[in-house]
Amino acid sequence: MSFDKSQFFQVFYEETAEHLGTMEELLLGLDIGSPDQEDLNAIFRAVHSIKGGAGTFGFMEMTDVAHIFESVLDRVRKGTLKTTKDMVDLFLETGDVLNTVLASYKAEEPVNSELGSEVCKQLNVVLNTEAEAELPKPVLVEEALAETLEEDPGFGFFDDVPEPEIQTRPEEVVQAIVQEQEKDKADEKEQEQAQENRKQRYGFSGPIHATDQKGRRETDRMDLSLDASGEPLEVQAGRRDADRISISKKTARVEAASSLRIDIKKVDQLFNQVGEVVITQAMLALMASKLDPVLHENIHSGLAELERNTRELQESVMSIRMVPCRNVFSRFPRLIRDMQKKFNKEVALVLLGEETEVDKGFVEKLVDPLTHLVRNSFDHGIESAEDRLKSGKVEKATITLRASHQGGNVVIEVSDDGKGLNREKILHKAREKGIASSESMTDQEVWQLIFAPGLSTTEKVSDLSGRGVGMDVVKKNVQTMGGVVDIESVTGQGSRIIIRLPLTLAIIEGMVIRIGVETYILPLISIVESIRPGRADLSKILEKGELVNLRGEYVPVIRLSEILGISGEENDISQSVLVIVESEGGRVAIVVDELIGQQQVVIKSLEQNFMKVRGIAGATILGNGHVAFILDVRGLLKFSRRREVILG
Amino acid sequence: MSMTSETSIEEISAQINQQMGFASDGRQYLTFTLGDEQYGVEILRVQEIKGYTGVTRIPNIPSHFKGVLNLRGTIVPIIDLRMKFGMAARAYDKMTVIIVVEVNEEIKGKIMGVIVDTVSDVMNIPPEDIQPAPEFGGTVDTGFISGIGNYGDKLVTFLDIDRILSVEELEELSAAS
Repeated sequence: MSFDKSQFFQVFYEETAEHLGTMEELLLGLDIGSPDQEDLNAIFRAVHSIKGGAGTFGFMEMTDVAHIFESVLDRVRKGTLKTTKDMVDLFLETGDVLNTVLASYKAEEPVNSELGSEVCKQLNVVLNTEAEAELPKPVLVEEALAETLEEDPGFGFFDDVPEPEIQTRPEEVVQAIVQEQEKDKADEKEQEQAQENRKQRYGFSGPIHATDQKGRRETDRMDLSLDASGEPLEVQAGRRDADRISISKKTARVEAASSLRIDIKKVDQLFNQVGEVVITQAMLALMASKLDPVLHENIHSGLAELERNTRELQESVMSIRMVPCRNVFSRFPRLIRDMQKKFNKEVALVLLGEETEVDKGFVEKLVDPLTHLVRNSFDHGIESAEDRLKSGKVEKATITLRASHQGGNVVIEVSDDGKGLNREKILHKAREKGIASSESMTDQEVWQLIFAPGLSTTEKVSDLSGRGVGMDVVKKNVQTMGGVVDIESVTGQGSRIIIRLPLTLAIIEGMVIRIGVETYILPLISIVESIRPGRADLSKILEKGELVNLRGEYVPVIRLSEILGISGEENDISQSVLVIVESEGGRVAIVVDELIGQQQVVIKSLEQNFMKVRGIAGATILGNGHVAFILDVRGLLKFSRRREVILG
Repeated sequence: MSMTSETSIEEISAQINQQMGFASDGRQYLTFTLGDEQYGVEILRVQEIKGYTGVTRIPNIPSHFKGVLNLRGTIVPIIDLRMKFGMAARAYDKMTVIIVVEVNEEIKGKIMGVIVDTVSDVMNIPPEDIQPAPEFGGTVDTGFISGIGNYGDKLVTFLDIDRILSVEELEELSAAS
């Protein structure tokens, strides 16, 4: 039995993180008075899997903690230990410790063993409290540990690799499986039988990793681990065979929820290739459009079909990258719980639209901004209980996280029923900090001020927020994802922060424009409107500065030819189109010779083989096979402003 | 392997493909011309050669970067070697060729294309036949020349592709802009 374990480490890390997440979610949802037996079992299974995995890879610190944890949980699920609030707190804390230890393993750093031993001590106290007689068999750490290593070496992370697992199994199991395999060969013609055998094997080694809709993992592997470890000290070979058979019967039931773990690189590669197919298809369509539709009817209908198929293919591939928002939302119940404890505020957290799917790439990037927003709502938005009662609200405040699809966007909202934003306070603060503001600003404009760096409206700096280093970062993070942030707020009734994101990182809706002879793409999300200005709408200041009158608002006109150094667009603006774009410094009008059309563009990296170019967010390939650049409006305008300062 | 100037891109491509398998000693070179001068690059660095097609200009970038090209879905920057070497510009014609090379930037390689007048041949040169680059004492920068050698009756200058298309240069550019 010699195979390199390290290649499975990554799988172990991921699975353990998932188990810990599942456990936390279940613990938070646990009804302490009368816990659901299924939940307790699921928590136990999660910890058991972690222990098994850690044991196999020799992650002793983790095994130690998980083992005692498991013993405590075993008592809990058998009903010999009553759950208490303190106990759940301790369990959550243990989860945190395991997470920390996992992070250390992942970073290949030395593990802080004090953390583990401290929590072990506490768990031991719980384990040894009351009803000692009821405990079926007191478990000795070393003994059970050895047992674990021998018994279930593969649980949890050999999912995709059944073969090596077979090698690691105890003799009798190997034999059983070999027998099955032989039977497989013999019965090849009897499809059904063979399939049943396969199922049995799968039931045992769990090659498919399943996450069911409730976010609770219920693979057969889990069932097995439960069955095998329910009486960890009594399992015998014969019993186990019996277990296995009963498990295999359960297999068919949960197969529907099965999923497959795939390296994200493979998905990206697939995505790129589909992008190529889309481009090739567009190329063919372009060529065919020159053919006589009557003479070449077959080609045209074939191409129409190809177009439909490629679009469907693209959508299917894109959907592989999509994961439910639950993955983002799941950490907030814990956050709220911790904050409630610390700040003595009663807040209910409502999660809506957890099934809404977002690009996998967004999940990690959304966590920080959302955490900040939720903290903000908790800390600034929601009043103290007395204030709430005084203003006729229910004592318990509500923070809502809602995800939904709107048009081509994913919309994520963080709303609260707190006191709302305070216009006067924000304006006052902005003046204090020297941020451009005026009394005549609309509410919407005032709310946007809170995204300015350095502006924080809380009276006192708290542990949670209020250092003024948050909202600008939130906005920046959202912008790097190609999204926008909006705020709605009604004084006294609460506020709502709305994050709008594109469906995926890899594709954006773009407007194809022509400037001179060059073709560029403007991200649709930054475009407000486009107009064909009349001569009367145009005016100049200081001879050079062109302005366009947009329904009473004077908007500066920007010529990209100057910024990009390309051969110029139409000199006479009244002959061209002005695209009004929204940017940090307000609105500007970009002179465009022609709007070619709106289309979805696949973003290609320019940095992969070259470098970052100012004013360019990325590149894409047009239907004719040529490369077109996607303009980074914000960057361009910043650049132009700075250049004016330097040149001016 | 004759050195006729009419060698087509297809033929050279075929030769490259054919010889990739034997090229593990790294002593094979793809030669090309800039004006009357012959140059060579290590064949292991060459990914493919293709006829010149239009490129998309990159704004605000030194002029020897002609632009970028779509190479089966990857965006590849294209460099005009004449301009990079400060030689007189020449109109692109049917013989103009883009040699796609891999620039080894330590671990992760970057793919770039260089525009040359024509490709000539694939040749085998033992290392002992290559002399070190001559010193011109400041008048001519020979930093990116890995050596010179004779092939037939012509002098071939061997280029160190990593130095010509250095990533440091890109970084400097990016910092300066």
